[in-house]
Order: sequence, then structure tokens, then C-alpha cells
Amino acid sequence: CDDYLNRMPLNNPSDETFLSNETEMKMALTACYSDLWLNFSVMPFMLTFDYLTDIGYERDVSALQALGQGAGDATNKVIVDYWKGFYNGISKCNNLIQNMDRGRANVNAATYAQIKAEARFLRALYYSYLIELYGDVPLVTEVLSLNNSKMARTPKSAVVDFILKELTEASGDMVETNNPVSGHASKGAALAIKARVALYNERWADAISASSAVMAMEGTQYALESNYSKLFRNEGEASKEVIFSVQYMVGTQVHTLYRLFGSRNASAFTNKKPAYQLADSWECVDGLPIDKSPLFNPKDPFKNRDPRLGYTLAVPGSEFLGFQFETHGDSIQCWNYLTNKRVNNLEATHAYATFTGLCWRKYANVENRLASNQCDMNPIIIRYAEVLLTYAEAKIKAGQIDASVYEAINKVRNRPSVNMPPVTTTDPTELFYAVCRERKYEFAGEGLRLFDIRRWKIAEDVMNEPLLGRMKKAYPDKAPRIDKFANAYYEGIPIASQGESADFKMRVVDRRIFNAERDYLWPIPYIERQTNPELVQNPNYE
Amino acid sequence: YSQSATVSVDAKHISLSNLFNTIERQSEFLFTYVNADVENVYVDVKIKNRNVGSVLSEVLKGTNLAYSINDRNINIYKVSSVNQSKIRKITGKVSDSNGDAIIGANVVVKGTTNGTITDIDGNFSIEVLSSDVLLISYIGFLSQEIKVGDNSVFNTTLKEDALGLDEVVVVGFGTQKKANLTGAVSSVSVQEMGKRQVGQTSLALQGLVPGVAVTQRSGQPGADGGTISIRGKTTLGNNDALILVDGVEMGLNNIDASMIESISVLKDAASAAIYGSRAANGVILVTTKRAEADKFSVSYNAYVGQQSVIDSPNKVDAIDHMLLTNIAYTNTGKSPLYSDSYIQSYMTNMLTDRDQYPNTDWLSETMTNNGLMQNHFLTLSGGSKRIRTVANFGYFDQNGIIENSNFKRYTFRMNTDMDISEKFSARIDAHLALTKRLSPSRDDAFSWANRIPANQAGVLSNGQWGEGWNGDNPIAFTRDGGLRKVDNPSATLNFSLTYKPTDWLTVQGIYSPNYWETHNTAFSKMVQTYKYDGTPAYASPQMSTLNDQSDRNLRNLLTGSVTFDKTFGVHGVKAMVGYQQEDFRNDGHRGYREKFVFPDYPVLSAGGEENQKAYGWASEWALQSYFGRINYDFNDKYLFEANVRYDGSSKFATGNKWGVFPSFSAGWRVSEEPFWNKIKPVVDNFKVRASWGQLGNQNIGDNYPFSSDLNLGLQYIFNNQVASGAGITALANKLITWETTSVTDIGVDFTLLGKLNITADYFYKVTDDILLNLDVPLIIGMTAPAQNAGKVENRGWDLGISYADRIGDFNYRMALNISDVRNKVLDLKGVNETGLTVNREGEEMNSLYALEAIGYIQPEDYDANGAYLHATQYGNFSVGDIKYKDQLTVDTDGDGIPDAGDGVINTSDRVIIGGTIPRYTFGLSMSGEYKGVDLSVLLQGVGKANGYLYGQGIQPFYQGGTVQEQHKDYWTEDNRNAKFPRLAFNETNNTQHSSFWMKNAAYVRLKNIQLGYSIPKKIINKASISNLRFYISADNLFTLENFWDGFDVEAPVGNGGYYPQMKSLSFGVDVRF
Repeated sequence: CDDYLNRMPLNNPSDETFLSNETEMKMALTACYSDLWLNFSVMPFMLTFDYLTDIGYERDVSALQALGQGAGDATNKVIVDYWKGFYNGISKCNNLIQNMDRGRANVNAATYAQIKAEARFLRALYYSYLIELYGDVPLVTEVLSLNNSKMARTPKSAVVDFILKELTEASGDMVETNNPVSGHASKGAALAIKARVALYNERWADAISASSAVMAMEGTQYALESNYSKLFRNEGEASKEVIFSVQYMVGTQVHTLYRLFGSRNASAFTNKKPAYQLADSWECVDGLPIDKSPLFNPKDPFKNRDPRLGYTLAVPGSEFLGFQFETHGDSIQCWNYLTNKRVNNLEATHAYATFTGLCWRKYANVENRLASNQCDMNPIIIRYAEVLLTYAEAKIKAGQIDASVYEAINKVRNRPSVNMPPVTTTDPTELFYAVCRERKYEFAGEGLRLFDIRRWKIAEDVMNEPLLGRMKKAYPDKAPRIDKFANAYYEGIPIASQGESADFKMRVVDRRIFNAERDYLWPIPYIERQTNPELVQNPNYE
Repeated sequence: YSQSATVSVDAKHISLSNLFNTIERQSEFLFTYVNADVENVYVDVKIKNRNVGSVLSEVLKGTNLAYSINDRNINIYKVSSVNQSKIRKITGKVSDSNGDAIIGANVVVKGTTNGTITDIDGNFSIEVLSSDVLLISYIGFLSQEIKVGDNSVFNTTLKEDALGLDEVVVVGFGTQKKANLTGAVSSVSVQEMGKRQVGQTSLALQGLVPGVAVTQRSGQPGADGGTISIRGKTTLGNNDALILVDGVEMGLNNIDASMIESISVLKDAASAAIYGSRAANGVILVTTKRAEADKFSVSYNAYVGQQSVIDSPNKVDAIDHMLLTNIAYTNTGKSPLYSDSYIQSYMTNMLTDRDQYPNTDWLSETMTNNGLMQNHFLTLSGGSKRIRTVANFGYFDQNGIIENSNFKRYTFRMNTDMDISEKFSARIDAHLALTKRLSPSRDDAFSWANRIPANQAGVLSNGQWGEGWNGDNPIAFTRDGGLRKVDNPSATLNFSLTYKPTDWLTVQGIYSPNYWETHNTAFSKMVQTYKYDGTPAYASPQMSTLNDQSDRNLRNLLTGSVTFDKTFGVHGVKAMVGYQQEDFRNDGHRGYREKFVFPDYPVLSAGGEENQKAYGWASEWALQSYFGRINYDFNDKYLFEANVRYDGSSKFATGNKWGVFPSFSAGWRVSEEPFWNKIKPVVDNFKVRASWGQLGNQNIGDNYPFSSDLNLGLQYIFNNQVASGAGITALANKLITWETTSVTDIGVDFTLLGKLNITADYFYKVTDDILLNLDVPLIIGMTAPAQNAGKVENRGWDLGISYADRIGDFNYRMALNISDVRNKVLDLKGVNETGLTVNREGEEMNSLYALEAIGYIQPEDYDANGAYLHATQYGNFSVGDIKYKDQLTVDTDGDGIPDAGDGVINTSDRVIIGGTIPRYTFGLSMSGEYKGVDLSVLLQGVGKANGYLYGQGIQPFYQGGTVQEQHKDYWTEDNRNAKFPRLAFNETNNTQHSSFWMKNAAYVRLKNIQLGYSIPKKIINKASISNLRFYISADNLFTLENFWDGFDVEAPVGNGGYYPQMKSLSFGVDVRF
């Protein structure tokens, strides 16, 4: 009589024979990629990291804001969701890698190898984020069940070994052609991520060899985009500079970057704000920091500056998303370039217009103005400029300074739309700082800053400073002090203290606390330690 | 009864009628006789503790009278001298003990279908034989049997049934006399249910049944039903009681309360076990009204009412908002958001320019609908001896308090009884219902209206929508943001065939198909908002989208049973065996389109072709059961019952599908023992009961938890094209099987002085192998399967007391019920999930888990150098912030017991701060009637409970929102015992979950008060109306509570952004022809 009670799923096939042919393997690989859509409140994950650093401020009262303020704990949603998200991706990769042998006979060898290599690449990529965020993590390389899931943490160095080995082996089976809108990871992507992981973990030789291998494909597969700002607009999605990006498409998967970054006038919310300190980071066009350069004019602070300032941020006086962008408190009207009319300026009057006087320009694309929640610009995971600067930094740290180091740095500085004077210092320490600064100038807003301030151990310095906004009705009458890392310090410049008007003093937008004994790593999620007693917590979290 | 009752009389030359009165006073016997027969008959009696039968035999010897005893009825009649086989017509009148006529009493010849009912004056006439016995009955009165004999005029007085012992209670697959119940069963009278003017029938149960807690968490039309929990929560998943309407599972809210004849609540395992597989949370049996033979009646009842919100937050105006915002900014070291000059100009300009300087009362401008409701219910009932039919038509229409918020319900039920032959009878019931729920497409109106500051524009002076909060404008989207329509047609049929070859054997087969559809159309319409200068601001949502979904559901229920019921002398035996199978299938599909050029046409084809999507799905489950029951009673005194049920479920893998669930119960009617006679005048009835039983549960959301299958919804984009993906995202569990609840119940029922009924029960329930989606390590990368995870216990008691009496023409009744349940999680395999409500071993289910607030941080908490002296808290904490207790988490002396704090407030400092399950739930109903005027009052409440609000509901400036008037009582140096902490903007210290935000949610509520007037029959009878009553009724009029201001005490744990509960005032009429 059990027949009546035998009811099997009507929607989904059983997994028992899955992966028996090429179609099924490709479907499984697609699923491995789908975890790249990991996000926090519809913001692609890789762009959220800057809001946990000195250069960005999350206005929404959210887990991201709390984490940035040093108030994140083991139950913080970002900490839990990202852990879960990366392991979800790893689980799908493991299933494909472990079980695709079932269908090996039915697929041609090259396709089989390529599918497997891409799954290994994705697994390594997911691990690369996990180790940088949490430190030691359980290294899961096969499908787990309830019985064998209580694993201990694997030392970070062993996971790094694994990632480097996987990426080395996978790169051999991946396509060489760079086509960033294909969505598929290429050989260069595997090597570029390998270079990044090696650099972050001070494996200088691996970093040099992997970045060199990518640089060997310069001209054929990779090149710096001559128009820097194009990289962050839809028309730059297929640029030769993009090595690996996450694919978005209206109707299938979208993000809301326009709304998060854009200005009030342009019908966006400016939830994510750049720190005012960031704007003061960039050099003047003579290659000198603003506290040294004669070209810097405190009354007109954004003039004569590295063009990447204007490409990265919307600064007062510029055109932004069809409007004249002006955050001076008295500028109650501004020009609307879309209608060619003078209109009321919300940036000056709206209570929730940007608090810092600046907006992010990268990824805020005017074509999304009427559908600010429907953005599908592909956010970049890694691009060629990073490979060049990784090469340079690794060479310097390895004590192998030669012409190729200068060439790599200056290629980034000299691209046609940037045209900054070359770095020439011969002092190895100064040269290292030059690379550090260059990374800030080049990658601000792209989610790399968190990993840089962690590995350079400068987080405890920059994160314990108040995050500042512009004076509402003036600019400081002198430049702040700019340090070796291009961080700005406002000694001698009035900062509004508790209760004071910010009309003529720097506005305090946020106060953060960074505990150097704790905050260089995220905690292991609380619930994970409940279900798996083998996991030891990171120091000072419980 | 007549076997055990004894009487004592010592009298000389006593008239028979006096003798009968004496016996009536000493016992529960009631004599019926024709006055003329006993007139002038006097006897001498001297008896002590004799059986009444022997007494009567003695005194009637030598008269031409005889007697017959039927339970408590004694009929005295003349020994017939006429031809017994001759049919003749007799007449009579039935009245109550006041002498008032009883209208509609049943008069039938016992053992036949020959019967009639009394007319408006209580008169009847019927054709009978002298050997016949008349059976006269009426609801609420003790039935009487009278031998016809030679009499031709029968004037009968019916005695009110104060004890209700003969009342028949519906139990699983049958009925049982209340006196013979051995399990914990409560029944609810129709009269009580009918009092409440509520759209959702579940609410009508609130406060009426001991052990049944009904909680209302929302006031949204159509979603304002109560969650019913019987004796606490036994499982961590779905705790809903099983609700059967005439044996068929159906939502209680799908029926109109007026259709209901009676409701039985089966609370212990012994009573519910016959429903085995799904009865673990208790069973509610609803019996609908059926027609009576040879009686035609039409009745109509209706009411109209108006609802209004019970409580609503009082938010500050625009100027206060800005001033307080600045305080909150500067308190946290940030620069003020609004300059003094701006606020000055705002004050001046807001009087003339409301567009640029708005002062919007978001809540009152959002709550603009009238909240009117109306209900109409028409019943036609009639039939012949062989076929009887009742048909009901119900219509209910309820407006919400926000625009486009409405619920309509159309119900039709027809119950037909057919006596096909002497041995075969059939029932054919049909229940058709259509519910239509309308609401704005977005359900977050209250969430936004609670949050948006008054200095944001709602409606501009030219009629355009203001910006609201970045385009989220609840005034706009409730009126103009598109509609969500949920239409729910359903049809339930019930075919039942009964074969009764002899009077002790019944074979019954029932087939009940239940088909229903859900059509869910959600048209989310683009709402353009405008800046104060008329230029477009935000559009929210940014495009119009339509999701149009249909689900078809079919449930088949097939039941067969054989019942044996026979009395062998003093041994009563009842046995039943049965089989049941039930299957369910759901099929559904959904279409999606976006970009509607013509937003007035919210149908799929009017949407854009691009990005259109189609989805479909199906699922099914099945249950199969074999069950049996034996009842045995000895002399109606010792009662015993045993049940067993063998259940199979498709939700478990082969090998784990079947479970056995037995139960036993016994009762002893102590008051029937001879030794009880002495206290019988005080305690007329006393029964003790005990039961033990097991129930199974297979109710988990996933129909196939054992099956490891592919998720086909994992897409990605390659080359600007979407690609289908597949992967395993859910972990399977092949070992999963039944969850078992064991219940022990001990109870007593007793009656004092014939008027005060008391029922008390103590129970202990343990649920084992609880089905739960226990957290699993996230590194597995798949979602957790349901597991047989743990153990939960519930222990508690129920007490029900009722009292009814009359003083002259004033009839009154009072009933009190109170119950308590304590819940404890015994075992969870060691896993403790995180979050605000948690399940922890040793604690109550869904306990609140948070920091322990210990007042505010005061200046004394800092040393001379400004260093904080206690454990570090969150963010930029300061004086006036909530201070948390640094729990002992560090073991400094190595004895394994933590004895010191760790100096920092973090996750490790969270503790259980309280439970969420209401304790000491009670209801008190009082009603009185005097010459047609009736008044009833229902008080209902909870003696101990915790409520918890957070977020924009209660926390000042949560996520950049605003504050309420009550927040002005905030901490300052001069106001150290403030109601709220210092104002702080974007700071996390005070928004941590803590005991600060937990409040006592105990309450007493005037649930209903109703005043009615029945027009005297003399007046209405001229219009052929048999009953006409008008009433005015108020629900939730008044509540005594100490919860957060602005929210009803039954507010769900959350951010207060829910549709608030309503109070209502209604006017109604009941008329019967």
C-alpha cells in the first residue's frame, strides 16, 4: 500500500545522474558562476569593501555601516552573508569538480578540462576573499554532508598554497582569449587573481611570475584603456583592460549603483559617500601632493589635479549626471544640462544630499537616470592596471627593482587620459610608498582599499580618524598634511566639534573605532561556531 | 440514574402531586402527568433510601395509574382502557418553568420520524397511538418522554438543562454525551460565538475556551484573523490547530460564524488521537447547522459597523523633527543637519508654502479609508421527513483604514440529509466560498508612515505626489501604487453514506473533495513623485510590473468506518474501526511583465514584451491511516476509552513512512456512587478523568525532505545572454520521520448546587523528534534540511467555571476561563541559532535573546579623565545611552564557571531576557437578559507576556527616520530617569536588541460589549415574525495595558510597521420568520 504514499518531486529532477553530459556540466558551471552575484542590499559584494575603510562612508544604518564603525560582531549580517555566500559558491564548484567524472566519456577532453578549470578558478576566487576577510578558514574541497562537516580552520598559508596551486593548474586549461563580456574566466584571469593572492600574502616570487605571465599577453589580450573613465561606464565593459568582471543584465540580474552613488538632483540617493579626505589624496598634475605642490590653490582645490580625481569623484563645480554639481551651502540653484535650465539645487538644500560634499562618479552612469535600480554595468573584479601595480610592488618587496618596475608604474600613470608625470625615485622605500599611493589613486571606489590598509597595517591609523565632509560654505584655507600613503590629516584646519555649525569648519560625518588587536580580521560567524565547535574564534571577538 | 438514586419520604395522606414534588426536590427526577389524572388521589408513604421505582410501584398500586422511567424523566399515566392501535389526534402546550411558551420545541413520536414543532404559542398537535411515547425536546432544556396512554391534552413543562450533562458533544468520528467524556474536550455554544462582530471566525473564539489562545497580530482586512494555539506550542514549526468543518479540513475563516451549530475543541491526546497524524496541536471540530424535519424557517441577520485603529504612534511635527535631529547629531559629535536660520525660515514659510516647507502627518494622511464593514447572512431551512435541507448565504464586506484595502467574502453552504430507506441515509453537503482581498500593491504603508519625518512632502498643493522618503510615499502608493488582488474561490463537497443494518451497527463512508484556487494579481504601478517646484523627483517603483499567479489545489479525503454501539445490561460498549486516506496536489503558474504603457490595464498582455517571464510548479503529498477506538462504560459510572492510529506519510522515505499513535483514557463518575448521596445536594456531579496518548506530526514545509534534487533556477549571464544553471542547493535528509507528542491529562468536572459548573485540567506534553530546520554548518554551502531535532515540553492547566441563574425575570450567566502553559525546550542537539528570537535548551521556545539593559550611562560612570569605568559598549557611546550588563563570561579561577565579565559588550553578553508565549490567558463573559433586553460583556486578557518593538516603531531616529512625541522624554543631565535614552543619530549602541525595548504585554481587554433588544412577540407575531432582535455591539473598545504608547499590546515582535489592530462599533439585526 506504499504506492499511494510514494510521491516524488514534480518540479526538479533527482541529482543522482546529474553531470552525465556536456549540457549538464555547463549548467552546473553556470550555477558556480551565479554565486558571483553575492551582494549586500543589491550592491555587488566587491564594491562594498570600500565602506569599511577610510575612503568611503555608508549612510544607511546597516550592518555595513556598523562594520565600518568598528561595531561589527560575529552576528553582523555582512560577516554572516559573505561567509555563507562564498561557501555556497565553493559547494557548487566542489560538486562539479568531484562528480563530473560521471560524464567524462560523453564530453570531449578539451571542453571537459575547460569546464573543470573554470570551476577550480571560481573556487579559488571565492577562497581568496574568505582568507583575506576571515584569516584561517576551513578548506572544503569536496561535497560535505551533515556527518563530515565539522571541520577545523585550515591555516591561511595552507589555503594560499591551495589557491596558488589550483590557479596555476587551472590556467593551463582555460581559454587565452580575453573577452570580459563572455562572462567566462580566461587564463589571464586565473593568473591575475593568482598574482593578487600572492601579493596579498607576500609570496613575491609567485606574484612576480603570475603578473609577468599576464603582462606577456599585453597587446594581444590585455591593454590599459586609454580612456580611464570609460572603464566604469557600460561602453567600457568589453575593454581590453578588464580581465574579469561580474555579468549583469537588465531582466536577469541588476544592481542599484546609480541610486547608491548618484546625486540628489539626478534622482539618486547618495547612500554611499566618498570621504572628503579621499579628494585631498590625489596629487597635483606636477606629481606633488597638495601640501607640497605650488599648483594647489586652496580656494579652488580641485584644479590642477590628477585627472583620476575627477574621474573617480564628482567634485563641486563639475558636471555630474546632467547637472551642475555644487555642494556649497549658498548655491541654492544650479544648471540642469538635460533641460538647459537653472533649477533648484538639492545638493545644497536637501538634508540627505551627500554629507561629504562629494559623490562617487565611478559606476554612476547617466543612462541609468530614469531606472536607477536597473543598472547592469558589469562591476570589475580585476583589471590590468592592478596586475601592473602588483608586479611593481612584488618586485620592490622582493628587492628586484629594475626598469620594468618603473615601466609598470608609469604605464598606469601615463595612460593618455591620465598623463601624470612619471615616478622616478630610486629609494626602494619611497618607491614602495609611490606604489601604495598609486593604488589609492587608481583603484579608489573599486573595493580594493580594505585589503591594502589591512596588509600595510595602516588601518589602525586611518580608521581611527573622523570621516570628514566639506565645509558647507568654504574650503580649508590651506592643504591638509598628506602622508606617504597619500592619506590626509587636517591639523590646523578647523573641524566642527560637537554641536558646532559646519558652515566654515570641516563637517564630522562619522566617527569610527578600529581596534588593532581585533579588527584586522572579521570574526567567524557566531552561528557557524554553534554548529561546528571545531572552529576557533579570531582574537578578541568573544 | 434511576438505578442509583434513592429517595426518602415519610408522609400521611399526601396528594400524589405533593409526593412527586417531594421526590423532585430530593433527586434529579422530573415528573410529567396530566393534572386531572392525579387529582384527588392521596396516599400514605413511609420510605427511607429506597429506589424510586419500587416506591412508585407501591404507591400507585390500587390506582388506575402507571409509571415509566426514562433516565430522569418519570411519566405518570392512566392505564389505558381504549384500543391501543387506534390513531387519534392529541394536542398540547410546551412551556418553560416560568410558564412562557417554548416556540419551536420538537415533539416526535419516539422511534419514528413522525414529529412536529410547537407554534408561536407553544402549542402542538400530532397523530399518535396510545402505546406511543412522545419525545419533547428543545435546545437548552432537558428532554422529556411522555407515554401517550389515554390522555389527549398534554401540557408539559420543560426543565432547563443547567448541568448540560445530557448535552451531546461532537468528538472525533462521532458524538459523546458530555457526562461520558473521558478526554479534555471543550465545547463552545453558538450563542457565545455569535456575539462578536468579526469578519474572521477565528477571532470569535477569543477568550471563550480554556486552553485556547487566540492572538490577533494584524488589522488588515482579510488578514485580521487570529492565530489559534491550543495549550501552547508543541513544535518549532507550524503550531496551527487542525480545524475540521463537518470532518473536512477547512480554514475557520472561510466560514461565517452564523453557519456554526457547535464547536468542540479536542485538547488532549486521547481526544485528538483519532486524528493522529495532524492533531498534535489540538483539533477544532466545527459542526454546521442542519435542517429539521417538517419545519420551514427563514432567518436573516446583518450588521454594519465601523472600525478604527486602536492605537497609533504620535509623531513630532516638522519643526520639532528638525530641532531634535540637530540634538541627535550634535550629541554624537556630528555637525547639525539643519542650520538655525533654515529652521527659522521654515517656521515662517511653512504657514504659506507647504510644498517647500511641508508639515506632513504621515499616519493620518495615510489612514483615510472609512473602515466600514457589513455582514449579511440569510438562512433557509426546511424539509420533509425524508429529505431535509438548509441553505445559507453569507456576504461580508470590510473596508480597511488605508485606501484600496478591502475584504469581501461570499459564502454559500447547503447541507442536505436524506433518509433513503430505514437502513440507508445520506448527507450531501456543499460549501462554496469566494474571498476577495484587495490591498495596495505594496504592503509597507505603515512601515513608511511610521518612519518618514513630517518635513517631507506627501501631497503637493497642485495635487502631485510629494517626494516622501526618496520616492517612498505611503500616501501615494496606497492610493495610486497599483493593487494586489487575492481571489480565493473554493468548493468543498461532502458525500456521506450511512448504513445502519441494526440499531447497534453503523457503517459509514465519506468522500470529501476540496478544490480551491488562489489568484494573486500584484500590479505594482509606477508612482512619480515631484519636488516642491513641480519637477519630477523619484519614481517608485521605477517601472510598473505585473505578477499574475494562479494556484490550483485539490485535496481528496476518503474515510470509511464501522461503529458498534451496544449496551449489555450495565456494560456499555462502543467500538469503531476506520480507514482514511488523503492526498493533496498543487499546480500553479505565474506570468510576469513590466513596463505598462497603459497602467489602467493591469493584465499581462498590456505589458511590455521585453523581459516577460513565465513560471510553473507542482507538488503533492499523501497520508494514509488505519484507526480504531473502543469505549467501555460500566453502569455509566466507570468509563474507559482506547484509540490507536497507524499513520503513513509521503513526506518520509520508504522505511520511515509509518508511525503508530496510541492513546488511553478513563473516567470515574464519583457522584454516581451511593456514598456520594450525602453531598449530592451540594455537589450534584463529580467526575475525575485521566488520559495519556501520543500524536504524530509530519507537517513540514518541504514535501520531499528525503529527496536530493536539483535546483534549476541558478542562472548566469554569458555573452549578454542568460544561461540556465543547475545545482544542489538544499541538503536532503533520508532519515527524517515522524515527530511524536505525548500528552498526559488529568481533569475533574463537577457541578455545585446545580448551577456552578467547573472543569479543571492539568496536562503535560512532551514533543520528541521535533521536525526542525536546524542550523547546519554554512561551509556545507547548502540550506539546512528538516531534521528530527529535539524535544520540547509544555505543562499547564485549564480551568473553566460557569454559572447561570435567574432572579425573577432576570436571567444571567457568567463564565470564566483561565489557563496557563509553560514551555521549555529540552534538547536541540546542542545547536543554538542566533537572532532576536531563539530556541535554547532549558528555555522557552522563541525566547527573546538580547543584551540586558541596566539603565542609562550616567556621568558617574566616567572617571576624572573621562575614561568609561565599565565594559566598552557599541560605537560612540556616551552619557544617556543605554547601559548594558557585562555578563559573566570569563572563568578567572579555573573552576569552569564564568565569574567575570570580559570588559566589552558584545554577542557573548546576550542572554534570554524573556519569553514570547502568553501566560495566564483568560476570558470572562457575563450576560444578562431582562424582558427582552439583553446585555453581554466579554473581557479577555493575558496575565503575563512580553512584547518587543524595535526599529522605527520605537527607536528614535532609527535609520534616519523621525521621533514620536514620547521621545521628547529623553535622557539629559537633568532628566536622568527619562523614558528614552539620549537622542543619537546613526549610532548603534541604543539600537542593539536589549531588554530596554521589551515591555510587559499583559492586558485586560473589553473584547466585546453588546446591548440587544428583542421586540415582544405579541407585537411581531402579527407580522408573522417569530423573532426580532436589534443590537449595538462594540469590539476592543477598551484595553488596560502598559505597553509602548502608539501600538496595540498584541503588536507582533517587530518594528511596528504592521497593519494595526482595530476596534469597531456595530449595529445589527436578527430576524426569524
